[in-house]
Amino acid sequence: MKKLIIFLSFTVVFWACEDFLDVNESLDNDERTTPNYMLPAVLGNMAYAHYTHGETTSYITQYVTTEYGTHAVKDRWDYRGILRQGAWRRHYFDVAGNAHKMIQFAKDEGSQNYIGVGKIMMAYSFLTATDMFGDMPILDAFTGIYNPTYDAQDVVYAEIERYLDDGIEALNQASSADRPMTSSEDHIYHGNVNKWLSFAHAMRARLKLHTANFQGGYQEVLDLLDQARAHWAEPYFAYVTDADSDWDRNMWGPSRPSPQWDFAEIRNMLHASIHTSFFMHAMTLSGEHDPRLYELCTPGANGNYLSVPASTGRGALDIDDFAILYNGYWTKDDSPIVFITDEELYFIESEAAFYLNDMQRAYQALINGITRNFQRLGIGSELNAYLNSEAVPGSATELKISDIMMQKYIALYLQPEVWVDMRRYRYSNHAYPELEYPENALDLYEGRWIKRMPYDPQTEYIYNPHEIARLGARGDLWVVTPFWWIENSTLAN
Amino acid sequence: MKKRLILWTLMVCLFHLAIAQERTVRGTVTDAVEGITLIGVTIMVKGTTIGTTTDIDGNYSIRVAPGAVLEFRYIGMITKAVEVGDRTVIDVAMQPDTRLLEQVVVTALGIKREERTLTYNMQSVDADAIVSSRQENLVNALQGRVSGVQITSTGGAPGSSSEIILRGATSVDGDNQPLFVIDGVPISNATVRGTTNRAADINPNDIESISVLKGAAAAALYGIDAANGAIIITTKRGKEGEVTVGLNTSATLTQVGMLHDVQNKFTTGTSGLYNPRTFAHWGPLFRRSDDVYNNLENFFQTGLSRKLDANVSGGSENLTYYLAVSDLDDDGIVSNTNYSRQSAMLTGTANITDRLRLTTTANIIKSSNAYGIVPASGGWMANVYRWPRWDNIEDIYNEDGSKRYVWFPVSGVMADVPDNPMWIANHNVRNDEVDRTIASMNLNYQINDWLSADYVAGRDFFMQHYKAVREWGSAGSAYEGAISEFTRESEKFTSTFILTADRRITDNLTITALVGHNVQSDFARNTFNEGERFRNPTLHSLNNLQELRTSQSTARRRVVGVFGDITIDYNRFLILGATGRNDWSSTLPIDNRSFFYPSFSFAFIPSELYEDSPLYDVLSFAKLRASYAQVGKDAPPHRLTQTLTQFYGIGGGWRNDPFAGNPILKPEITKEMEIGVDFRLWHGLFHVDFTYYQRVSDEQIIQPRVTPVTGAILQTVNSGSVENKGMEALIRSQVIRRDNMAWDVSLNLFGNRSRLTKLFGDLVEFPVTYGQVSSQAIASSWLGEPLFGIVGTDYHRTEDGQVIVDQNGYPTIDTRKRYLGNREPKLYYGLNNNFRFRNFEVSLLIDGSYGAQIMNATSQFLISSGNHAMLEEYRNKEFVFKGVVETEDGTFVPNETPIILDREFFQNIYMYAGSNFVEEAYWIRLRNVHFMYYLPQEFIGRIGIKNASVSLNMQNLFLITNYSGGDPEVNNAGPGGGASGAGTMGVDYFQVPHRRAVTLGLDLRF
Repeated sequence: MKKLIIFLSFTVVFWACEDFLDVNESLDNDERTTPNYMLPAVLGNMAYAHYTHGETTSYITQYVTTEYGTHAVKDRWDYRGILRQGAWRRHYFDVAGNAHKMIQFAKDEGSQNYIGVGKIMMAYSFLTATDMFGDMPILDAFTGIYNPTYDAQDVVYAEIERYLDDGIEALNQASSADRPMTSSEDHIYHGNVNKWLSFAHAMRARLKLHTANFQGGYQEVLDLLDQARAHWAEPYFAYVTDADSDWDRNMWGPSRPSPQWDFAEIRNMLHASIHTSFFMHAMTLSGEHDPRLYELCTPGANGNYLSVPASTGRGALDIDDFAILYNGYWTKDDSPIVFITDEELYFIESEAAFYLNDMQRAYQALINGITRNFQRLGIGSELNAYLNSEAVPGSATELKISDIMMQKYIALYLQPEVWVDMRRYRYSNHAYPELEYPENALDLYEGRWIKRMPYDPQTEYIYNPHEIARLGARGDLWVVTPFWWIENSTLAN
Repeated sequence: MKKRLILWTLMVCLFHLAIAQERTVRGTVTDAVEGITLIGVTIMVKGTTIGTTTDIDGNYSIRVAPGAVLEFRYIGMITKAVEVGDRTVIDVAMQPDTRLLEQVVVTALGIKREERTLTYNMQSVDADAIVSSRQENLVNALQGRVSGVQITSTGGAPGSSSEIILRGATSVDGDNQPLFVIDGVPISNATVRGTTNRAADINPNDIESISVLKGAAAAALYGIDAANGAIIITTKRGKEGEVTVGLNTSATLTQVGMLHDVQNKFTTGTSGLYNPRTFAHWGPLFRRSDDVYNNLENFFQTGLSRKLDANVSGGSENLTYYLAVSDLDDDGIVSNTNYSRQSAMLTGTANITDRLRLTTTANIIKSSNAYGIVPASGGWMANVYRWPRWDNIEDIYNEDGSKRYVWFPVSGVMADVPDNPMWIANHNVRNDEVDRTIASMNLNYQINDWLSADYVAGRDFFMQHYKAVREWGSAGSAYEGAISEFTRESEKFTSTFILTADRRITDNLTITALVGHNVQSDFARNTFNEGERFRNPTLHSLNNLQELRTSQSTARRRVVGVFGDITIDYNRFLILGATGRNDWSSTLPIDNRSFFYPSFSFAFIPSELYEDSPLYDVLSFAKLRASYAQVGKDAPPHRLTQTLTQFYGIGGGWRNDPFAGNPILKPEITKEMEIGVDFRLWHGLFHVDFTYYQRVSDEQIIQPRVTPVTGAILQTVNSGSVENKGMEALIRSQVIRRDNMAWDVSLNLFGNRSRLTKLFGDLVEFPVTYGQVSSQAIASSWLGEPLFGIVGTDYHRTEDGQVIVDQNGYPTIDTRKRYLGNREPKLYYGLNNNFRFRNFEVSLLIDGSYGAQIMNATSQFLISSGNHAMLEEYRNKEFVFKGVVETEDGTFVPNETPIILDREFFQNIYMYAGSNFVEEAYWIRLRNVHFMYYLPQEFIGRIGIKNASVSLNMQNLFLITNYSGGDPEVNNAGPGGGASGAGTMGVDYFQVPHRRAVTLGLDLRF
């Protein structure tokens, strides 16, 4: 009897004990969900990432410069003292990390539509990131490896194409058996699979254009554009008008949204920035302003549109003589973020045709690009005057590459893809006639242009030191060192 | 059962038979010096286990056989043996034993032990010292009084949090603070979002004593939470006798302590050009006609703090009680800052039967802290230091009472104008309110004369409500107002059962053994509400927000432990001890959740062997002790898997949580070895206690950042190893001890050396991930270097350390991060002097440290903004930088090229060498001066007062230091980050300076 009691009490104690200790699961957050609840974060974070890239590059591509001319990063390209490089984390953690999870959840339930969209967004995020950073881990990404190998950029490009292939394949298999994807999940295409397919082809056209000059792929670029146009609609991420929350505002806007604490370092600085002489030169023809200027910014107090060379600051000039950069088409609180614009497709077409010597097509695409841009800015009535001005070549025979690249530059105001273009041409005056090296760039660069962003000093330089050492990414000159498609580019002259 | 009863009756009869031949001896025991009777003196018949104690009047009676010898033992008195002979009345006068050998201390699990038998180092602080320190945060009351502790406070704002670390930090990023235990019940000392450390809720006046268990050996019985040591607090109890009423009131005036110096020559602007819309003081010289305000000093006010304590205690033989209420109201040195605390504590002890005793305590506390300042990561004083000197910082309103802006912005957007810190103090107030109840029940059952059972159950519960309002008109994103609010319910429940056997087996051998069972349950639920934009400008409610975000987090952790402890005392000169504990923790994976850790210790007391020799008069006590212990540690809750968290953007849903999971975590084990000597000379005239320890924490549970390539930002892993070695010394002397005069001196010394010996993956550096303010020098741990490192940039240097200067005469910056210094002082010391002369008491506490490197980020930012004091002398001065220039053949020649030290130099070169802002500092502080006068008995007795004293107390009276920034006792983020890892001790970043204070107190007992 006694033994039984002891046995029973032990059993009870330990039974209770095991249960008693099973409290380690979070009461507030699950480990899993269905893919429809992941897609908004993938798309929303990609829009923030797109802004981050644009905000980072627009000072390099000389749309804008700070009014002081003393900003370490924006004016001097001095990355030695930066605490963070947000774009790195934005890609891996905020966009691709969530896309990776979404793909897993979608695979588990067999929703091909979510798998496809996930892969395509993965490809887009990797493409925009590698164009900032160059070599980066893709094969080891999301495997749990703490010191991932940095893949060479050509490998990254090949992997991106594989993501596109997989995404296209999945979308082709999408069916009504999949979990529905509607406008409440898919803020961009409202679940339209064909539009996603078109976006995938367009993205591949952009990708191929980056390497076509040394890999001979211009015809493929044109073919891809044809495929893209089948169901093309702009991947257009709309923000909320009169939003209550910073999360619902475009980060370019005048309220300088900072929806999350770790976004603080990339709050826009347009309130302390002015246009550069390079940009204003492009927007000025024989004393007249390109009418698009008035749609891209707001007149200053004195109604003037002064500008200064990049990095020099406005000095003693009156701030009231400069334009206010807010509340233009791209710089309102409810401006959209467009991953690839209609104009960009035309200018890709124009550039590819130009190098295939199909001048007629190149010219027509240029005109189409300009036309679409005037329409976008709501000034279609002023188009003809502009097309007939000396800003636009009169015929296909007069077409120069600089006509295409400068029109693309204007049409893609503040867009990060422009930095890709400038680097493909290695900032050459052949493509960008008036472009000047910024006076206040660090002396130690000895006149070399900036080619890439440093990796995130808060993570990579600390947590993956061997790879950083292998790449030689630690030195001060890393940011002026070209990567694969810059190094191989034949477009410099 | 029946059989047993018969046996029992038989035994009782026999017993009565035996004592029939004895007779009764009576007497009174007194203190030979003071002449008063002594209560509770143990009287034993030598060679037997028969004994008794004196009653409340000092009387005893005991039955003895003829020829017996009686031994009188009393704490603090020399044990006296008296032959009974044929006497029936024996009055004994006992001599005080100035050796204090028999001092009883409270050790782990509230067990009282004679200090002499301890096998590890432990130090206590008594009620008088705690009260006389006049520190309302009890952590601060320990400052300078105990060796082996480092305490740093975040600053001088009321309700500032303080961080305490014992014997150096062991964890690379976990909490390094000790466990706080009150009357056997662990309590929370959490610091949430920069609010105070919650141990500060305890009213210091309620404390009877604090024991500091520094090492792992001492703490093994409390289990995992005591891996960093334990602070054992015993509260006051009622004593049998007539009702005593105590009343204690004090008023304190506080003043700002030491500040950084600033330049007084240049006004705002850049590169010598005046600009009325900037904080940068790189403008031209002030003109003689300019108003130049001393904003820095004008910003502060004289603070007033008032405290009232009242208590009633007393009781009968079977029931004693202690009731205390207190009220504290502390107005700070910054406008509109306040800390107030009301508490009521009731303790009752009832002897339910001869063998069963019940003690219950309830401590009800309400504290409230208002501050328009952010002690969380420092930095708040930045705009006080940089405020334009042509503007009076005290003018925060326009004549019509509206907010006054310092300038009209170019953009016309008023949100672009920085807020006046004085306005922030009054209009962006954070309120932190806590309602807390700590209740405990302790049942003690004396099973027989050597075996007893204890059950302690306790619950620490608090509800914290925090609300930070940024009023309409604030700068930046809160221009239309914002609220950040959280409520936190925190519960710590503990249940402990202990069975203790204390038995003298033979004359020479005593064994004390205990076994116990412990259950602990921690629960914390936080609800956060944050939002912006008020609809109605002056209504500060969540209901009035146009945008609101809510989130919730719940943390649950449960630990079950069983433990045992055995101490064998052989003839009082050899003591052996061992403990063992097994814990089961909910936070670890099922397969790894059970873990065992032992400790072994011994003490050898040779002085017991020569008590009768002349040597004893010189070396009156000597003890050698050694111990080895392990303590296990579990993981933070909910860290085994990566969860999802809310996505607030368009479309909502979920996104990845930054924390990656780790399903194969193992417990972390800390191993510690300690040896010590304790000797006392000339019957206690000198007492020296010296301890050396070594401590290794391996396979730590840390949460390093990982590359986001993994899909996470942080991950919990088992990795990293930290070594600590150190010594603690206590030297005490009772220089004078006479009837009406006494002088005690005690000096404690402490030095710790830490080293980070292993890190996760390829890491060579483990940065502190919060409270970082500069990118040129940060609080960080570097592999192979001390844990409290500073890592940053320096000038390029030649192999022999000379600065390399470029052809133009400018020093060159090496942007590679390197180890720059150690924030942990080489030596801490505290010197305590207590004098008593007739009715006067004076105590002086001087403490200090030596050899710490301070990361002076304040100085760096003052350089950046052109406010640094040295700019008065150096700005625009021609200067030849001391260094060498590289020649074409690779050799170096001394630099001779002069440069102008202009803004560009300071902002683009000087600021970029983090090493320019690392300073080695020492400090000596007169921390506390305490005068007390007891009013003469004949005077107060007539008005029915038993005891009355007045006191004058001065805190932080002066400071001697070589530090350029005023007070080097800095910790910019404090325990806000959980005192995680190397923390921010020694990082100076615009914190509210420490206060200087004077207190007048009155203490009455009726």
